[in-house]
Amino acid sequence: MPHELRNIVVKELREIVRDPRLLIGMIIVPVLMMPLMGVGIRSAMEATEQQLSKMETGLLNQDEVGSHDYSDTLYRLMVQNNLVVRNSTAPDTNSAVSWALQNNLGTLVVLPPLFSENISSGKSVNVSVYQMLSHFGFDEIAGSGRMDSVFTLFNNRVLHDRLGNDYNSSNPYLPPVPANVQSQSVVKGEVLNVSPSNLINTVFTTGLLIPIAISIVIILAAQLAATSVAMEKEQKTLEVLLTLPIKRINILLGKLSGVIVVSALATIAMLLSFGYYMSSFTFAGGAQVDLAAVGLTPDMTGYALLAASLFLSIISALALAVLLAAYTKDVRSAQSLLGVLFLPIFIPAFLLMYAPIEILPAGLQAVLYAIPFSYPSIASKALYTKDYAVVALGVVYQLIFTAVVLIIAARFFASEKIMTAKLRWGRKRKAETEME
Amino acid sequence: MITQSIRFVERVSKMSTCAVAINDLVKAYSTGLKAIDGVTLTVNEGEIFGLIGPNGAGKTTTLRILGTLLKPTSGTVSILGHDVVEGQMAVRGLISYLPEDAGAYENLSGREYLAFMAGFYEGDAKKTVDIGVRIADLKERIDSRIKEYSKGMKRRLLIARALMTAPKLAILDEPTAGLDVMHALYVRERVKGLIKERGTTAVLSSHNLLEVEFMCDRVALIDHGRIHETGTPSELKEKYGAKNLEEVFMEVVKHAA
Repeated sequence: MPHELRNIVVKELREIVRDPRLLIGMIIVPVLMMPLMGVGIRSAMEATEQQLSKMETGLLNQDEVGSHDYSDTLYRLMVQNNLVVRNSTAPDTNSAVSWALQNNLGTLVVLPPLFSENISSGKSVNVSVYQMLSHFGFDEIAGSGRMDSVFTLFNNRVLHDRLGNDYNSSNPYLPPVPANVQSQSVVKGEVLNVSPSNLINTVFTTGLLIPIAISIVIILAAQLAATSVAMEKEQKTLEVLLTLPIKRINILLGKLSGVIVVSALATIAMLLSFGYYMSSFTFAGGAQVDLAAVGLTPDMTGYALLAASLFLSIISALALAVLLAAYTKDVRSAQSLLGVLFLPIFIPAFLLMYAPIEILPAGLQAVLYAIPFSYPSIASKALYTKDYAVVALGVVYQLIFTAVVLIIAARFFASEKIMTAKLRWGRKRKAETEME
Repeated sequence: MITQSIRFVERVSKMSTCAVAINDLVKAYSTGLKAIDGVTLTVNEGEIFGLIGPNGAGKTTTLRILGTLLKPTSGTVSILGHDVVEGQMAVRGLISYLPEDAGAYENLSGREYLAFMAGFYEGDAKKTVDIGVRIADLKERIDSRIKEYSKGMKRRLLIARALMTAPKLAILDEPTAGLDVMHALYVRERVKGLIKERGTTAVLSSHNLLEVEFMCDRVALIDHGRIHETGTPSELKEKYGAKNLEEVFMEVVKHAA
């Protein structure tokens, strides 16, 4: 390496390594983020698997057994595939659905009368499978998929029995499938005549944009606020502003309000562009479901809670960003130090995309409930599940958190720390005040 | 009895003309460093008072305490009878503070910046802005964006901002630092002229001792957070047998070390 180039590289590295704000944002945060995301996603996946293993399947068998007991064949296949099967004694399908709901079963299979006889005579029999959906999570998609596999195995077995060595599952001229699965979704006790996998896919893909868009908007707002304060410090305009006959709290609120207006515009622009993006392609995994037609459109309560949760997240992120920026002297350091905020904003959004909070391990749940930025993601899920109680409590928690952060920021602004706070690197790795 | 009465009248009369009273001021930081170590001084109304000293002597810290940006660790500081800690809002209504190397909002025009600042004071804002425009004297460039200004133009705008509201006390940290001769001369003469014309009191710091000699009625020499000399430039020159303040400064710093 030429001497001049080496000289410059060494200087650049020294500058970066000796600036704790740059190191925190550019190295420590990314180093922490990926392992934390990995741990979180692994926990989410394990929780999904655990949920699946606990999931029980109900069986309403209305078959009359003849020479072949195909209902028993199906039952055995279900058990072989690790499904915990409970037999229903309900007199009809509606009662069986109610029984399944009361007993928290994940799936209900209804075998119609003459199931075995019709299959023996080579007919295709419709079998209703009801999937109970509560949170539209991956565990529910997997539950529905597992039942599909059981029926594929069943149909292969029946055709193999019937055709013997001539059976080849890839033969396009096979007779109609023996058991034709009619999947239906049960949401909030109501039977919807739509496939659960299609419904979950639709809710997932429609709702997917919301946590991502929310995280981006919160980060953008925080960056704006941090830049605004850091720029004022860098150009010493803040120093002048703080000596004017104006209450310090008004300087803080004025700054936050300006950023909120810009953030609101950014939110609208972001949602519009994401909406266009999402509608510009179809998703793999089946046709999209018209959510309005099945009564799953979000209502005003859901939107109001999501808006409140997002608003409070933005305000608290702004106040935290202002506090972080107060520990820097220029825009570059402020932007870098802001990386600290990325962890609590992005990690909950990503985790809650994979698994609903209620199926996660208790420790992880506690962490997510403690992070105020989790609630917009929880609220966006609640648009479809209509589980508003947790979101409402979350909004109250966010309100308290935001008030506390605002009070701290206001006190910080009112004190001389706004002028003197800086991060120290070395033996005292903590923020403290010092003469400039 | 008569002597005591005369002393009382002298003290009351001194108090009434005292714009800034600093008494045994100490400012220490968490690192243990004492930026100011027992400063006591007074600045009379209508006076231009200069703080001179080497880098890190405590000049900016003193000015920031006067500007209510920092709080004293101990001692008292009052401006026109208002304590800078207890009565900071009242103090902020009386002062105008100009930091060294201060900037302005780059995306505003000079006129918009003055209007923004005038909005925080009572009285006719438009009239205040007109005064500011006259002080800055940037001609038609007053309506250009500040980011297009040279350093000298920016400083003229900031001086105009600091003086347009007719503050009772102007606190100016290095008012001409980094300016070319033309702009420095303009700022120096404009500041002195306006302050004397309006009877404003000013406390300023500067490394340019010729400037201090030209502008200030009295000066204090500060080093390591302590005042080593106070007096009019001519008193100090006479005391040290020096031709100018630079020689006085060197003598004082030498003895202080």
